[in-house]
Parts: sequence; C-alpha cells; structure tokens
Amino acid sequence: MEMEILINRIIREVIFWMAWIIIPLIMEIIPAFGGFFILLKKSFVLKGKAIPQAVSEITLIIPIYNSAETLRTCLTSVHNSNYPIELMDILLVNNGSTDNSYEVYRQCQDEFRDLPMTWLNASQGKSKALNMALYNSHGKYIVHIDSDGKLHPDALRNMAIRFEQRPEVDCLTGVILTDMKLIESTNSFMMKLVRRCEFFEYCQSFLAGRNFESEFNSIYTLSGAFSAFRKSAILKSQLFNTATVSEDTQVTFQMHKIQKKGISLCENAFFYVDPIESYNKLYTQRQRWQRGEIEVSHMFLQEELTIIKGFISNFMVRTLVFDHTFAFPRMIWYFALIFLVFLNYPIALVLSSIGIIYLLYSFSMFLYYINVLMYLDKVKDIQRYYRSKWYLIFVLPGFNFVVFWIRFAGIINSIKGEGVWKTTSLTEEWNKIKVAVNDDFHFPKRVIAALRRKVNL
Amino acid sequence: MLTLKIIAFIVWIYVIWVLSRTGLHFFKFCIGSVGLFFFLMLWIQPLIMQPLKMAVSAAAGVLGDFFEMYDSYYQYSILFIPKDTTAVSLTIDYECSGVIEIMAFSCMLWFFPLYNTIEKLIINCIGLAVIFLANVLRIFLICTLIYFYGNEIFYFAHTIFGRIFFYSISIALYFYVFTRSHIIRQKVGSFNYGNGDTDK
Repeated sequence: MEMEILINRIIREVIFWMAWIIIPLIMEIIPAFGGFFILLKKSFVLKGKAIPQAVSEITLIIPIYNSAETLRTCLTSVHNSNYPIELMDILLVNNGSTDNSYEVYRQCQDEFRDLPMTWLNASQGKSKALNMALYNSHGKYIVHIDSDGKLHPDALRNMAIRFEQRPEVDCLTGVILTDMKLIESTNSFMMKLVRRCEFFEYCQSFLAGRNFESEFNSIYTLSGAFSAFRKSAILKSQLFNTATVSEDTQVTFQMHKIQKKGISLCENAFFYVDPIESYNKLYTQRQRWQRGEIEVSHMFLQEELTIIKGFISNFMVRTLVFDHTFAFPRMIWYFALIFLVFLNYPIALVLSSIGIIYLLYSFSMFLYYINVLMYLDKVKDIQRYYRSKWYLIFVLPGFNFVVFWIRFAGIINSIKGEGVWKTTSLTEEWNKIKVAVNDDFHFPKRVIAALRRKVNL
Repeated sequence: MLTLKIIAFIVWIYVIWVLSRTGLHFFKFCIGSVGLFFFLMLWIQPLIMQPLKMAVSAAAGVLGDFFEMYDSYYQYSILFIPKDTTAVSLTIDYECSGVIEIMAFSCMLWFFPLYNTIEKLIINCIGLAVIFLANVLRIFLICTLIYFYGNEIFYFAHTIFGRIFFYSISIALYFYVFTRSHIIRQKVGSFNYGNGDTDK
C-alpha cells in the first residue's frame, strides 16, 4: 500500500515537471537519445568495411583570397599528406587578393617542388573561384579546401577510399575541427573557454550531427572548408552559386533536390581550422550562417513550405522549423520564466525547472560526448584532448544558449538590408547606439553646461 | 509605483526610437516585443482577462452542448462535466484563457520587421482567432478525456496532452506567419564583400 502511494506520488511529480520541460524535451533531448544509438550501431558497421588498395586521381582546389599568412601552412599540410603525389593535381584559384599571396605561392613552389600546383586568377568571390577551377580540373574526384586550414595526413586518402567503397555516394564532407594547439595557447581565460566550447561544438556538429544525418542521406550542408565531389556529379549541377552568402549549403541543396545525389560524411577525414578570433567574429559568423540557411531555403523550398506535409516528408523543411520557427516560442519560453517570477510563481519552481532543463541538456551533451569519443578513435591526440575536457558538457548548454541568440539575431537581421559578408559586429552596433544617444542629448547637455557656467560665475 | 511604470514606458519608447534610427533590427525586435508584452501585461491584460475567460468558456460550452458532454456557466467561467453520479467542475483561469499566448504572439508580430502595418493588422486578427480556437479545442479535448476517463485523467490531459496539442497549433501558426513568409520574401544576391565591391 505504501509502495503504491509512493509510486503514485513519483508519477505525479514526474508529470508535474514534464509539463514544464516537455517542449525542450521533445525538441532536443529525445532526438539526441535516438541519435546516440544509431551512431553507436554505425561505429560497429564501419569497422567491418574492406579497404580498397588502389585510389584514383584527385583535383584539389584551394580558393585564395588574401591568404598570404596561412597559405604556407596549408600547402605544407597538403605536402605532408600520404596521398600519392602523382595522383594529385592542385589548383590554387586567386579571387581578388590584394596581399602577397602570389609571392608566398612562388616560395612554396620552390620549397615543394614535387607538388603539382597551378595558379589561376578568377574574379572576386569564392564561388567564382571554385567554378573556374572545376572547369580546369582533371581528377575523378574534386576536393576543395580552404586556404586557412590544415589537412590531416590521412584526410585525402580516406575520402578517396570512401568514394571507392560507396559508389552510391557522390559528395562527401570532411570533419572540420578547430586547432587544439591554438586553442590552448589562448591567453584570456574566457576566450579560451569559448574556443574550447567551439571545439566541442565542431566535434558534435560533425561527428554526431552530420554523422547522424549522413545515415539518412539528409546532410543539410556540406562543409565549405573541406568537401569532395565525384567530378561526374558536380559537373552536372549548376555549380557554385554566386548570389548567396552560403554557396556550400546551396550546392548541397542542388545535389539533394535536383540530382537526388547521395551525400555523406567522411568521418575519418579531418581538416583543422583556426579557432574563432574574437567575440565579434563569433557574432557575425553565426549570423551569416543563419542568413545562408534562409537564403538557400528561399531558392529551393518555396514550394514545399507546408507545416504537416513539409515537416514530415522533407528534412530541409524540418531543419528550417527547428532553426527558424522554434526560435520564436523559445524566446517566449526564456522570457516567460522571468515573467513567472513577477507573476508570483514560487521562485523555487522557476529555478528548479531551469535546473532540470539544464541537466537534461547536459545529459544530451554527454550522449554526444560518448559518440564523438568513439569516432575520434583514429586520431588519438585529439581523442585524448577531447576526453580530458569532459567538464565542457556542463558548459556547453550555456554556450549554445548564447549561440541561439546570435542565430536569432541572424534571422531578424536578414530580413532587412543587403546581404553583407561582414555583418556589423557587436562593437560597431554599440558605437552606433552611443553616437545616436550622444546626438540626442547634445542639446540638453549644452544647456546644462551653460547653466553650470552661469552658476559658477 | 505608477510614476515608475510611466518612466519605464518612456524609456522603452526612447530605446526603440534609438534602435530604429541605428538600424539594429534584432535588438529592436527583442526589446520591442518583450517591452510591449510587459506593458500589455501591466495595463491591458487586467482589462481583457475577464471577457476572454468568459468567451473561452462560452465557446467551449457550445461544443459541450453540441456533443452533450458538459455544460458551461460562462458568467463564472466554469465548465461542469457530469461523470456517473458526480460532476467534475473546471474553472477557466488565467492560464487557460490563452491571454499570455495571444499577447506574446501579437508583440512578436508587431516588431517582426517583415510586414507592413496593414498586413500586421490582418495577420494579428487571424492569429488571435487561431489561438482562441486552439485554446477552445484544447479545453474541449480535456473535457472529453475527463468525460470518458474520469477525474484521474485530468492531470495528464491538462498538463501534457492539452499542452502538446496547443503547442502544435501555435507552431503551425508561427511557421506560416514568421518562417514561411520570411523565406518567400527573403532577398538573395547583390551582397557586399565589405570592401566596397558589390557582387551582382
């Protein structure tokens, strides 16, 4: 009897809290749980795949835009790659650089004499550079990387092997991670924490997020920093679009929608980029990503924007609902918590519900953490680093919260004004406010100053 | 206290004005809609609360009468569900009236920079009707569950089932009002590289 009362009480308590947390639970925690098991299964399946011995010729495209500082490191990583050099064809496509990138290229040519490199000049814009290189490429597979990152020695080989293993796959995205040495050399404590969070975020975004999407051929965007195509597939597309700020998502949509091509993640092909430079950069970069998603949806999804059919049958609409539509009730939810305190709700109730949600988010971060650790098995140094930073699973919900607001800013700001590569940073926005307020109070300030002078006299 | 509220209101108007002039759309949207919500809660909500509660119970009562499942005493915002020999009474309170949801939607809409004023007026009316109907249907569903399964189901029906139902309809409304229209009207192209060159 007592047991029954106890169980009933627990059920009532659970239902009571469920009411508070039901929305984030359905939206994020349950999918994280499902994804965990799917990725667990995939990791075992992958281990059994046979590795083909021969690989084919690849064309490596590197768009260059004021890359003088990073180009040498990038080319060094290509040189250190274990892909057979005789099967490589490297195209560096300059698109309007104003620095001495070309001189750096010439020095690298002398240094890495065995690397077959060609320099091309295109008009401004990464898309134009990529398109020009595509027309000049000879390889069976086309790989493009950004000039400000570094390839892992096995990356190209693993991508080519994956293409050979899976004939149904036409496009592959590599795994982009931020450079852990640079993260650890950061001086400021807060910035280091943000960069570590960013590293975790990249790990999760590729090794959990895209890895999971890859299982259902529903990758939303190939990485703009490192991805690869079968030449036969990419040349049938409309190539890289020059109108949008997000040519990587645009080409992904083309492959999905027009050509019904298989898009997958090559989870053992790593590419390292620099961690985020500053808070301002994070603020503008995430807004640009969000804007890209909206622009590409405008190009491809207009006919499919229905809530029931679209949501059920089209993963792109689903992603849009998660990123765009849910942002609005989420905003209400966050502010409602503050208002509830004013409405005389017990503060303990509000705080406990925030606490429960935080713990649930941390739990889903923990599930991702386990997944990511499994997929970092081939890169032991990164795996060790990632493992040692386990405590970040408790910090990431906070980081994601901040990123949510930045992306929300991206949604609202993309409605008005021209698309700019350089969205205004927080510092610039703050300066604008200061100037406006100073202007407004210019007259009263002058009056007060005049009065003071009078009184003093 | 009233002076404080009025000062807060003036400061809010000034902040919105500054944010408009500086073109900081996101901050205008956030501070604008949250501020408006706050002032509506303060001054408008007490006025519309009672009529809204009565309207919701009256409309839910129409459905109850039609299916002969429960009676509505809308003057008191109460629904009576006869169950065997007893009756379960449901009071439509502050949370059930949907006043918060209606105001939250309206506040976001008025500061969402996609529509012009006429469009906002029309969409606001439609949104109001949708939220009101969704709320009436939610209450009808809760009453139906109680009618068939008794008082034990109340907690589940009210806190979980009703909430998910209402939330789904709200998401559909938000999808059409905020997401779909935005995607369709989004401008693409003619972006700037930040150094003055425009790429058409």
